[in-house]
Amino acid sequence: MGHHGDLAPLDYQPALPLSRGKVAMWLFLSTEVMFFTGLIGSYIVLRFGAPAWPTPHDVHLSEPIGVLNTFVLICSSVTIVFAFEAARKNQPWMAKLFLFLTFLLGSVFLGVKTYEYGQKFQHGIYPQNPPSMYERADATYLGAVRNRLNVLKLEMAGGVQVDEPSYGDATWNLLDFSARHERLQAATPATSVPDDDADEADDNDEPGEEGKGSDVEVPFVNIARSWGDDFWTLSGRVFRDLTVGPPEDVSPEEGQRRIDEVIQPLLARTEGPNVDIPAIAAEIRGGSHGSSGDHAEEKGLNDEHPWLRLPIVIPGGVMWANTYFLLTGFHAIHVLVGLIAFLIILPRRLDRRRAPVLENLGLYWHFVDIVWIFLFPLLYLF
Amino acid sequence: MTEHEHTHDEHAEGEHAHESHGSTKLYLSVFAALCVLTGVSFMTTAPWWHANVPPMAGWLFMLAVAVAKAVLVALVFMHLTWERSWKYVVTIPAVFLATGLVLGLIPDIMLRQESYSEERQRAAAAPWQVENPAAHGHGE
Repeated sequence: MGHHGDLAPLDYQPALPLSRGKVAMWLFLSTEVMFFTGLIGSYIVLRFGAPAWPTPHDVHLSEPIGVLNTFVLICSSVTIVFAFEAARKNQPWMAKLFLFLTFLLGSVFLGVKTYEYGQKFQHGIYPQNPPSMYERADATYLGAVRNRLNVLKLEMAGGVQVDEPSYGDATWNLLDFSARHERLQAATPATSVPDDDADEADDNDEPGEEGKGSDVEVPFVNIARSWGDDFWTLSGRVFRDLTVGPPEDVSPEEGQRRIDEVIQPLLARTEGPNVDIPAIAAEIRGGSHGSSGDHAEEKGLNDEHPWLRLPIVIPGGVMWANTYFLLTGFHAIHVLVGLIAFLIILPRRLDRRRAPVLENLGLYWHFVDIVWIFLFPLLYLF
Repeated sequence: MTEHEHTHDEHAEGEHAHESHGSTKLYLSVFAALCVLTGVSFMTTAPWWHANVPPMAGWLFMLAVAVAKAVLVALVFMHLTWERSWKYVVTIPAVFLATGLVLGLIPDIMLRQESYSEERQRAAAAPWQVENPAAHGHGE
C-alpha cells in the first residue's frame, strides 16, 4: 500500500496474471491452432468432396499402428506433466528422468512414422512425383502400364544404347511415342556415331531434327519416370549416351526369364481391340480390398514381382497421398522441433527455477498431442 | 482471488491437490480415460462397426471422441482448468475459426461435384467396387 502524502501514489497493476513466457507460448499456440485448423479444415472438405476415396487397405494404412502412435503420444504427454510437477516440487532428477522418458516416447513416435512412410513408398505411394497412382482404369492408365512394361523390357534385355536425351520433365504418352518413333525412323539415316553436340540441345529441340541417328531401334520411352528406383533423381534428369541395362543383381538369364514369363504376356494382354482394363488393374492391385479386416488374397502383381512396379489404380489415391503426407509431415516436423527443445533443456538442472520452462515446453508438447488426437481419427478412421 | 499466487514456499513433498495444479491421481485418471477413449475409437475399425453403424453417425461419434480427448488434455494437462478468464480469449476464437472455415469451404469444395459437366463426370474417379464389377467378383 502506498504511503500517505500529497500525491496519490502510483500503483502499478500487473498486466496479466501470468508470466510473460506463458503469454508468449499461448500466443504462439494460437497461431499454431490457426495453422493446423487451416490444414485440417481443408482436408475435411477435400475428403468429403472427393468422388472417391481409398480405403485404408488400398493405401497400406494400418489403423493399429495409428492407435499405437496415439498411445505413445498420450504417454509422453503424461510424462511431461510429471516432469513439470517434479520440477515444481524441486526434484531435479525426477524431472530429468520424466523429461528423458518424454523424449524417448517422442522418438518412438517418429520411428513408427518412418516405418509407416516406408510402407507407403514401398508400394509406390508418394506425396507427389512420380505418377504411380491413377484414378480410373482407363486408356491413360493402360498407356502408363504399357510404358512401364516397355521400359522394363528394355532394361531386362540389356545393352541398349540410347542416344537421344530424355528432356527433363517431358512425359511421352503412347501416341507421342509411336508418332515420333516413325518420324525418327523415316527422317534420319542410320549412323553409328552419336552426335556429341548434345550440349547445345535444349528443350525446344525436336528429337530427330538434329540429324542424330541410331542403329538400334529404341522406343522413345520416358525412362526417368518409374517409381521406386532412385527416388531422389527422378524427373529433371537429362540422359546423354545412356546405356540401359538390367540392374547389377539381375543376370541376363534372369532378365530374359522375366521378359518371357511376366513382361511379354502382360504386354500381349494390353494389346488388341478389346482389352479388359479393369481386370488388368484389379490383377495389378491384388485381391479383396475391403476394410483392413480382410487381408486374404492380398498379393497383387506388384507384390508378387517387386521389380515390376507397375502403376496402380487407386481412386482418390493422389488426393489422399497429398493430404496424408502434408498433414502427418507437418505434424512430424512439430514433433521433431519438440524433441530438439527437449534435448536443449535436458542437460540443465531442472529445479524449481526451471519449472516455468518445463511448463511452457509442456504446453507445446500437449498441443502437438492434441493435433495428433484430431489427426488420428480423421486420417486413419474416416 | 489473489491468494492464487503460486505459493512455492509451502512444502512440496505431498501429493495433495494444490490450488493451481492437479494431483498425481488426477493426472493418472485422465491418462486412463484417454486410453479408454483411444480404445473406443479403435473399436470403430472392427467389422461389426462397419456393418451396423451408418457412416455419418460413425464420423460424428469419432469426432466427439476426439473432441473429448482434446478437451481432457487441454483442461488438465495444460492446466487450463486452473487458469483465469484469458483462456476463453484463446480457445473460443479458435473454435470459431475451425467451424467457420469448414462451413465456408463446403459449398465451393465439398459440393463441387454438383456442378460437374458430363465430360468432367466421365473423367472423375469412381469407387473401386462400383466401377469395376470384374474386380468386385475377384476376391470379395
